[in-house]
Amino acid sequence: MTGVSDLPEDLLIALLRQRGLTLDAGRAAALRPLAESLLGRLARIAGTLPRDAAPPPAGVLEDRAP
Amino acid sequence: MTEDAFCFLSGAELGRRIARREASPVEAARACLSRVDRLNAKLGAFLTVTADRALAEAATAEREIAAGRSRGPLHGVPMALKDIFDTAGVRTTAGSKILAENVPVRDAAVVERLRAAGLVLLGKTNMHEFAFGTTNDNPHYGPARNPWDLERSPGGSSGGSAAALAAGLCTVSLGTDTGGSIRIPAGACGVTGLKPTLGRASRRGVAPLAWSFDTVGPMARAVEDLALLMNVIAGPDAEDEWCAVRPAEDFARDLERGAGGLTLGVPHEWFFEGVEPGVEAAVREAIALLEREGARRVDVALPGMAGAYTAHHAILAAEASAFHGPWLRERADDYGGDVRRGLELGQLVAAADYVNARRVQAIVRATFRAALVVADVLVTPCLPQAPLRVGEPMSREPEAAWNRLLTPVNLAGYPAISMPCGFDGAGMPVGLQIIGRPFEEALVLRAARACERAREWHTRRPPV
Repeated sequence: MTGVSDLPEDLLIALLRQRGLTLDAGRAAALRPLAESLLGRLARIAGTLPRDAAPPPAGVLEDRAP
Repeated sequence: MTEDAFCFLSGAELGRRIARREASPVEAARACLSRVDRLNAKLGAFLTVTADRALAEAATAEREIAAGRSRGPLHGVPMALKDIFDTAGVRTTAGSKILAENVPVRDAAVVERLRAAGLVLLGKTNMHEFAFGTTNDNPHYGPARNPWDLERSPGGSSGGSAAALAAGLCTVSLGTDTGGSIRIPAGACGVTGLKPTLGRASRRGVAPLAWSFDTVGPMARAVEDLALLMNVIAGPDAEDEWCAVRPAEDFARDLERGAGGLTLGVPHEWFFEGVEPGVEAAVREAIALLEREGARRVDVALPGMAGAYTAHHAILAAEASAFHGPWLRERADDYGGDVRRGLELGQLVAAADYVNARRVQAIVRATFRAALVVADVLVTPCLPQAPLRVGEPMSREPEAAWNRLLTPVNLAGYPAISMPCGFDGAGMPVGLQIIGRPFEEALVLRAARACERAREWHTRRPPV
């Protein structure tokens, strides 16, 4: 979904159906602004990340169990 | 000793009196249970009360202490556990309808440790459904309410624990913090709560919300109690690969060293933006107080916190949705509306979004690391505003969410405490957040104790 900032409700219903979930029109309408906001912000972040930014190493903090 | 006197003692002080045989574990448990009887209908703090079992455990503690077999400084002290911790033979719902009949056969690892230390289980506390929310408006069991104003939320997700502590229904408690779920209710209810470093305590037997952030931590009315509880629950667990391999340590060792020599980092962006004036005034006064106690203040830069909030939300929603996927497909109607919506949202986070959020995590961790090179601890408000009204939804927008000052710390994995530092103009508690370096909880607790002993906001009682 990266880059998507306009999500018609029928698209949301279809996307969730692909994942085995049932979403009626009312629930899709409630979900839509949340999805547009979060996914839009994630898309903007993706455009600003330094190219050399990598995820943190597995194990997270320095003395985590292997 | 009167019932109230028992119920509002700190765990450390009650434990000392029990050890000296000046207080009885059975009397202490009875006093708390009596307040639960009188007040729980108003507060909705407990989901399950284990009165008979508590009195039996308290009697056992009393006999052991009389026979000279002390299990430590919290032996015989009454506790309540967030209903997310497995308790053998005691219903554990995680605040959900889906687990309404769940009775574990084994205690969570931290519960095993608390029992071995002789604490007495009074019951299980209310929480936001599956810990996926910050208000504790639970559609299945009713809301928990804030003892300072019953029309307001106690915060969540560990809201029942905070309400129970503030109202004297228990002496100590345990919560979990994935996106502020210990610090939010601690701040909203005027109690103390510590989110330790990610991995400090075992999560075996704790219902997951998001593996990358889930952290078990203590809640109490006094900083000393947090240290004593950390002494019990922290340490390696071979059954939890996320658990740090560091050996146990004494978290109370530096509590009374005061603020002298500490450098407080005060962020000049994000953490004070949009904060209600009454909250900011109380937090600034607490910082000034620590300076008067000998701490040095420096301004620090913590850029990128709006992105941190978004990255945390994406990772949390995706991981929670992965865990709940099977139930979401088969029992979607058994979820409350807000939790179901959050899980559906998590299904929409693509793999690339998730990885990018993890890349933000690395940057945010480096940002906190740099700030904590020039400062020993960072000091910020806990909540930017007074607690929400019961039923009022929380915004998920970075600039408006009431956990927006907290989730960047979860993303970094660093330890942080919330402690009371005053009251706003409406008489609601204000929480101070103190953030430390990884595995430096003892330093965070020292700074918190220095603030606590100077003003004693923690001794105020709510009007219930």
